[in-house]
Amino acid sequence: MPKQETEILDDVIVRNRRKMLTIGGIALAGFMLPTVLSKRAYAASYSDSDILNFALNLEFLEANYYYLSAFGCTIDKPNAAAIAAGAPSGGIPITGSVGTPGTVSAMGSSSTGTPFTTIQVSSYAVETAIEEGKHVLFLQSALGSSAAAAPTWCTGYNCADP
Amino acid sequence: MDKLKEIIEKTLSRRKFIAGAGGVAAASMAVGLTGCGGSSHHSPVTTPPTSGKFTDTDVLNFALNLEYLEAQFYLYAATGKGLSSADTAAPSGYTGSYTEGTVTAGSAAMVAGTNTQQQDIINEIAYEEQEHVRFLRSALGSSAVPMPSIDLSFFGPLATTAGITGPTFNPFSSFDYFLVGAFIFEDVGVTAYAGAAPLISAAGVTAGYLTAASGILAVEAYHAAYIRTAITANAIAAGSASAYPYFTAANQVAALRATLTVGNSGAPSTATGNNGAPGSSSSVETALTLPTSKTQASAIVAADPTNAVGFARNVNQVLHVVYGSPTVGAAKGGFFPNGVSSIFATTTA
Repeated sequence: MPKQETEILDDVIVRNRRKMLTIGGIALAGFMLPTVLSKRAYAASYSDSDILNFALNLEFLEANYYYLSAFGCTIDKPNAAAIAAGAPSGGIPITGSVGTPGTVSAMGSSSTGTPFTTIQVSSYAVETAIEEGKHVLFLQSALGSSAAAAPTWCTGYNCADP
Repeated sequence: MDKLKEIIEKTLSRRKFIAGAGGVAAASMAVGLTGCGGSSHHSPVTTPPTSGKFTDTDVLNFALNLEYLEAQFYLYAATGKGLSSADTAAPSGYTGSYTEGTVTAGSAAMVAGTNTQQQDIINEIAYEEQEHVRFLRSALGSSAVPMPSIDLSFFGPLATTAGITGPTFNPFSSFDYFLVGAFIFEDVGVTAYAGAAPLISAAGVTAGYLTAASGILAVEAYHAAYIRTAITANAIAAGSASAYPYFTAANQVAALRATLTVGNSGAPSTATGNNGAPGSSSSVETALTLPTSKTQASAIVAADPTNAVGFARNVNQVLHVVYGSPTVGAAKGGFFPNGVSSIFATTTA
């Protein structure tokens, strides 16, 4: 069974790589991608940075969702409530070497966040927002100069495969 | 990518620690599950493993010991009975003498006074832990170790050591007490799987063992998060910690686990030891907090405060907790009166 799952994953990766080639324009440093990809050829053509950057894109999404909900701000522009709860006062960077920072389209008025009625749920949202923000920072720190920029939500992600 | 390299090196150094001796290349320890057919892991070994002497089978069997414990606890809580004999019997093809341990039930019984939702929660966790036992036994096949002897009456002495006051601590006497009992196990389960991840060989990763282990870790984390959420929410609803004493009891358990988690390797954030008090920079524990306003964060997730990454305990540190002993060289005690059925049966640091 693990083998099957691995094969499925391989297929997904190969498909994504093909898509990336047709889109072009974004080069992953150090890799020459053949025009015809076999699974085997593909296997050597992605790095740990690519995997961590994929995770980073998801963390950008999660962190912004929880920041908007708990504080009514995005991760790069923390307001007083966010900073009081532990957000870095200068904000969390959304720039990176892969892609250009995108924008966040929030539903409705997000300046005040979700109007929670109980401490139980609100404190959970605050905790989660801060933790997701730390995940962004942690991955950016591990990736260093290879970190991807925050993508634009609803239009794709900065993983060389919109 | 230097940071990443650093993280990987730190992980590999944990491997060295687990093997007992330093200066051993991690690669030399990578022995595939298929390459292990011996019987050396069938009974508790009282000497710490040396480099190159453990396999993926040994790692999975260590996890199986913990799952036997968790399954027995939750099944008693849910149904008043433990694992079925089929789930502890000698696996087909087992070679050597199969000596199954016994369960000291003590006051173990269906948790008293639960409502439907509470019973459903207990049932779900019990079912999932039972499935973990079955899954690991299935993956291990004829190499699965026998269930070790398990003492479910250890909750009382553990609670006394933790400083929990009031009536005799009994996780089967009410749903609130059950939450504290579950709290003892789940945070340990999460950290144990994280700590064991670097022990799995490269061949084992390819074979899917790491993916499977991360899946079990996730379920343990779901359980832990539910337990921590329920205790926190109940304390908030009660209005204060003193109005819901189980909140304080859980934190006393966390503090005790911290003092038992001795040994100086495997710390995610420091190399100087991770047996500090909950919340300190060297701790693998996060105490529950009691938010008094909507703008304060709860502490449902137990994770390192810098990166919000869950903690890891190596096998030595897990043993200290489940044996309820800070002693180096301990091979049994606490929930495992005769020790775990594992090559990793003895505390080494």
